[in-house]
Amino acid sequence: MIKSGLVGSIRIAIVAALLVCNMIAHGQTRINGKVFSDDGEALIGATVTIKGTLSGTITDNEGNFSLMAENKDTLVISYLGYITQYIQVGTSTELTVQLDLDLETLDEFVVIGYGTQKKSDITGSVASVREEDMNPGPNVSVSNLMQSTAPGVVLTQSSSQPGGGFDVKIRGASSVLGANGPLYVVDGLPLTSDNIQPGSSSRHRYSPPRNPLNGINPQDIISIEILKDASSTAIYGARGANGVVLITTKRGKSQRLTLDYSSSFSLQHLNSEYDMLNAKEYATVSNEVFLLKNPEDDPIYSAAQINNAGEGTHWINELTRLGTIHQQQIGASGSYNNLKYYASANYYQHKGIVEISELERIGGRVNIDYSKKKVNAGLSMSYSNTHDRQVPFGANSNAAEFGGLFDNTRNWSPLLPVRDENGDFTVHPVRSLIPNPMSLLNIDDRIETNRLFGTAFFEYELFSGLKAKLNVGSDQSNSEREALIPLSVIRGEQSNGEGEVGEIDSWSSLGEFTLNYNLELGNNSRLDVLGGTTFQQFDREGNTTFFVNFADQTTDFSKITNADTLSVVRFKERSRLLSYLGRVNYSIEDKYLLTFSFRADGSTKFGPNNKWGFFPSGAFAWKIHNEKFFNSSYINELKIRASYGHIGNQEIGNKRSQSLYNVTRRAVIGGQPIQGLAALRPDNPDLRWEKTTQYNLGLDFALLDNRIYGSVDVYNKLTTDVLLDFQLPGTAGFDAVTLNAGSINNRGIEFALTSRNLVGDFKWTTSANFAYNQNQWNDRAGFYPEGQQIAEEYGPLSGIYGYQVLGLFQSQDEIDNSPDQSAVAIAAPGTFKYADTNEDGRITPEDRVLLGQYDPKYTFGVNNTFQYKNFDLNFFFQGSLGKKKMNFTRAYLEDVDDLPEGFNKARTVLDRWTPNNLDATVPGADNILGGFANNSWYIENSSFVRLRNLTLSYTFMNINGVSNLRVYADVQNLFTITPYKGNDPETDEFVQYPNAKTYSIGLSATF
Amino acid sequence: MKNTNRNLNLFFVPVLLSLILFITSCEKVLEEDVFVDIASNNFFQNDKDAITAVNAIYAKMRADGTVTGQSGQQEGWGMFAYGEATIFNYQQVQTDELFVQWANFNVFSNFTLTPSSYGNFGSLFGDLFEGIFIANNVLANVEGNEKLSEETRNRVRGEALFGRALFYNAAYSLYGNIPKITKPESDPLNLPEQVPPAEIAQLIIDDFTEAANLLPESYPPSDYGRFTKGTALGQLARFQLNQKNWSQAIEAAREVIALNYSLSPEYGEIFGLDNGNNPEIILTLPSIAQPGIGNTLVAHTSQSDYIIGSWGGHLARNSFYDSFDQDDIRRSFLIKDYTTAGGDSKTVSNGAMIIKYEPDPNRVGPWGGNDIVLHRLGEVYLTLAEALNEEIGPNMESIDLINTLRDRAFNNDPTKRIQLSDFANKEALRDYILLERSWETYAENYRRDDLLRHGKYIQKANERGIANAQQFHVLYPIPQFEIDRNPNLDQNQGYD
Repeated sequence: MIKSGLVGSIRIAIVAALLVCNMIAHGQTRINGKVFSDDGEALIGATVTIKGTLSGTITDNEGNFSLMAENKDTLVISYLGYITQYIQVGTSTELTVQLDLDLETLDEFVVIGYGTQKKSDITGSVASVREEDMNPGPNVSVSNLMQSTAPGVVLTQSSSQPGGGFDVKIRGASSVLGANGPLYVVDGLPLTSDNIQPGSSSRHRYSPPRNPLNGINPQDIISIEILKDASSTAIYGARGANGVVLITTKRGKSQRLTLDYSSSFSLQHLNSEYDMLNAKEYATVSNEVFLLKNPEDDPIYSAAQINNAGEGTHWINELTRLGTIHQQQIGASGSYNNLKYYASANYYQHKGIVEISELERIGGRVNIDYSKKKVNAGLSMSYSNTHDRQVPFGANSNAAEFGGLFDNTRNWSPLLPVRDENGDFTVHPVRSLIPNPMSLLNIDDRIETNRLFGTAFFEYELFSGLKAKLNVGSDQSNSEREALIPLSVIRGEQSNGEGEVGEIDSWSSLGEFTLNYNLELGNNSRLDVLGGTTFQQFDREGNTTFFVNFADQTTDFSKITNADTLSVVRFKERSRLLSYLGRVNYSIEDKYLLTFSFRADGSTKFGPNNKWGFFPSGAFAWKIHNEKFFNSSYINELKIRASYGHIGNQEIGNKRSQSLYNVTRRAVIGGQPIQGLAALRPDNPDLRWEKTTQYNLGLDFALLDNRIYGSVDVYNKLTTDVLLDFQLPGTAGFDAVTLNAGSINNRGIEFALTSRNLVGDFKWTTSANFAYNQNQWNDRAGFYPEGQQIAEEYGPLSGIYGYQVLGLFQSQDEIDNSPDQSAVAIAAPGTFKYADTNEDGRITPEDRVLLGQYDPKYTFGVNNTFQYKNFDLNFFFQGSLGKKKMNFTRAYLEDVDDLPEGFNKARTVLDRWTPNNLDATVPGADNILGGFANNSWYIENSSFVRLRNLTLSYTFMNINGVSNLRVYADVQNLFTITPYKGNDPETDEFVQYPNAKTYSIGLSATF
Repeated sequence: MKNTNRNLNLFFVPVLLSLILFITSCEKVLEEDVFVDIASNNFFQNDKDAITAVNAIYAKMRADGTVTGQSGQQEGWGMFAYGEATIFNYQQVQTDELFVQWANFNVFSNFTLTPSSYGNFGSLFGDLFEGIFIANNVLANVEGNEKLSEETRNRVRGEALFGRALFYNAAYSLYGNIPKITKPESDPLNLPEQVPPAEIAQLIIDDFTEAANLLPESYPPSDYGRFTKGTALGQLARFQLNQKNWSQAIEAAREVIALNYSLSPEYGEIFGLDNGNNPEIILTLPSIAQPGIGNTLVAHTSQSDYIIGSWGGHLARNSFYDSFDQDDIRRSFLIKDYTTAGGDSKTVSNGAMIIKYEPDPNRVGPWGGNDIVLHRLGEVYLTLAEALNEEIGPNMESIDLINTLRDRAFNNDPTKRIQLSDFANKEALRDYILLERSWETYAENYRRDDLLRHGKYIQKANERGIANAQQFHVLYPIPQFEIDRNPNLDQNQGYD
């Protein structure tokens, strides 16, 4: 067997090579073969025909066949429910053919926690994203693949920098302190939710964390299952409350060696940006504002200076460039005897639209499966090496000495060139320590991350139906950040060069043992029992060294030889999770389906009084279409599902339950810097997991010969014992204590519908999903975080509170006749007039009201695919409605107060309030409160509908040995419809990386 | 084949059993490991722990934000240093001595601060109470702690008591109505209430007094910078003066003067580069020319083309500059006319740079190495002179004390001395002392308290044209977010 298999493989490889050379031999020979299913069983009655002829045969009781064929012939091997295989005869006379289950058919297998299940047997709410549903074009991470593909899964891109992070919420946010993102499980390995890359709080090195999933190559993924309700996630217990995303990578299938190659290239350009004052306008408005405040003084700029100013420097243009994305992927899969393999290598490079920002990844994967008789074993390993080049965002400060790249770029005076006549960066006219934005591009800030993770399992059938499985996994990463502020940046000049080297090593290890018992009860009834125990440990440690005073003034980090160490900061932490789990699936006559599952989790994160949590769940489904009484030729499937269960959330940092002492900032005693030790936080021995109770009611249906199919789910999620960092008043000596209090409710409805509108030569398929989620506090337990002190008792978790602006004060007279605002802001003509919502005759912080919520209420995705012959046209809309956002950037860019101090503003300030411009759209000077108090003027509707992808592709079949060649062109973010006035309703933040439009061309080929 | 099966069964069953046994027998795996940090039950075990804990008070004096928060905290811009939420801004910017050119300081200069408009300035309230918490925590853990030597226990208690009183003194002066917290408890469900200000005043007096009894008169050089007996008596004298407890102020001031302090021969040396051992300094924040632990007053006040890299925000008012006798050496540290780094002659028109601290040629960015002077003997002289005048009216001892300082300021020019006969009554000498105080101690964090004591804080603001400065402005508002977090707190009258 071994020998013939090897020979067969070699032969096939040779044949493939010969075909490429167009060498064709003649003459009929006898071909003997055997057909297997992908789980190793012989397929009886499979059809084997010669393509283009009527001759053929079927396999016998052992799956064998025999027929005469020419070596240029192609054999077509097909079997109901399996993918048809085409095999070139070539010189081989012995063939072993493996057919894989056809995932196209409606009743595909889906991955569930600790197992797989037929989709029709699912009792919970599970959304499945298949390879073919995934967005084409460049995708840096699995997050990009999930966007709007399943209802109730809301992905918001939090930064559009290369490899930028995503905020993922499944069925709404239910935690304040804990993470709201789902648990990711890759090939059975739950990933850590901690950031694996070193960050930096320094404003000159701050950049939001990149997506931790960037280390996983999306092109290796075959399916993503999103578990949403309690019955499907309770098996993940204390990590299941925010949903679970199961990622399954490609595995070897067919016997034949298959090579896949794909490549794409993209161009990106700036999507939109604020229109800033040009030099002439800047000088004019500077004078106007200055003279308003200093009427006796001379204007800052003379008439001649203004007349000669012209357009000046367009700083945004200086900052941005045409971005590029380039990726290459090669994969090989096949089998050898009892071994199946899949291996891939991938290269991804993204040069962002902001100068110097970049991400580069090299990755590889090997998946091996072995199966023989009662033994199944497998290995999945993935390695990636990622280089990130970061730009200094600056953190939450308006343009100032420590400002970041984006705010400084907007605000820098258009009167100044980038460099002066000596070639030096120009200096801020008023505050000389504010860095020239282009000088910030000399900051060299890079992160290199290596990540190796994978699982290995060994499964053995103890006796018929009872399988024991040992699964071990490991996720190891090392990330190193080197950041250099050279002398060409003011701060670097001050410290004679400044550097930071940070490193994080993280390692999680998993061991689990499960027993699975499968019993066929006859009469189409089945019992499936799972039990087991798992243990996972997460280790994380790292250090950061800061130094100054470089001996040589290099701008290349690697060349620094000598510097003074300023400080070294180190951390180390460990958490463990010990769990027992079990599940029973009982299917009665393929009509009634019952599921019970439970998990007990013990976690180090919680207080000594509450180490263990128990998470039971149950579900019931009824396949009405299998009932005898149900007899409809229109309805092919009708299934109702109901589930209930408890799930938890433990994703808070370590050491929250203990009172610990940690080093303070420094003092100088005896001429030496010293540190003290002070208590970090009060202890809380009762600290425990958040508990979510979730009900789900669902309906699956398929109509009109499966032309229309879909599902509807309604759910109600109540999270109690919410983990909070309860903010303490200043008198407490601590900022906050971590405790469990209050409850949060999420309820909603989800629809998914696929309609094959047209079939035949011209195909048109529409897939749409829609979700509504209502999120609110059920019990605040006195928790009113910063900015929400006057929050509504039952308001949304992401509520935005602020003053209602009635308009701008038009005169002193109007101010005198309006409620006194002095407790909030000094009123002046041209400033905001606030509503006295509690009608007590004064404007106080009590007058703040709920103005909206940050998280969307409605989300949807609509995907349309048109197919005509080999053409494919796909357009994918994404929508997110019923949400608002505080537009800090606009608030700052329309506040002219500090314009004379040398800070440029948006062009909209030309329409600011003055006594001669009463119907202004922008407040006037003397806006003392600044734009930064949350108020309705700047809290904007950030709903949007976006054409996320538009793709046209053409597929060539069977050319010169290439069985499938697809070429495509794709546009991302072609247009966005939104009332939001900022740059982008999704990614806009106070300091934000500008969003881009992406144009791609690509090809994929299968050999 | 069957044999293999049996063998594998033989292998698997024990593995399964031992795995389950291993995991269940290890309940210990759920105990949380602590690395890097120190668990609270493992601290205050020896003298070194206690000293490390009390060091946090010194660190808190110059750090803003939470001491232990890894983010959001800025080192070196806090309470007793120079930055935004600092005593310096709260005590100086609303006075006749100086102003700030930056728009965000207008809330101070124009008396338009509201509970909600503090912005970055608002963290001072919480910073002070965090300092108080740290002190209370040290006090609770050293009291009766037999693991510590008696000497350390007493000294650390003295340092903590002093720290608590120092922070309370500031909070009492700025906000007036505050809670009295003497234990390290922070129960979120039992939030503190304000107490009558007199209770706080008594606590401050008691703490300074006990600290003076516990603290040594001096330390070996390796502990230079720690609070001493003189530090505590000096603050006590000044607090009693502000309380108008004249006889107690006299008593404490005399005790300070009796200690081993002496006037610096040169005024400028008090603020010189190596002012670390200046015999006049009583309370100091020692500094090193390094980010976070340096002195940034020069950078705050110097024009950017005078000392390169400075911000030129804080300036002495022209009216204050003009109030000096032009021969007064002390005025020479206020600079109007200067030569730029590029060699041009320039004049600051709207004020004068306060270059009291000698610019450090080895500074790192804004960070110079001059120790920050928080209290010195010269001020104690004025305190004694003022208290004596209040107690007995114009007297020779007060005149002599003032003339000692004037001799230094005018190179011992006898014509610049004041005479007892110049002052017809107590009010005349009182007014003069207020003037002399500004010349001698400008920008040293005293001015607001001095003006308040003399009842001229609001009057001076009105005279500057700040029409909306009203009597209730003698206290700052409690930041709105503090009231939001603790509904037991009432806003100061006039701001509510």
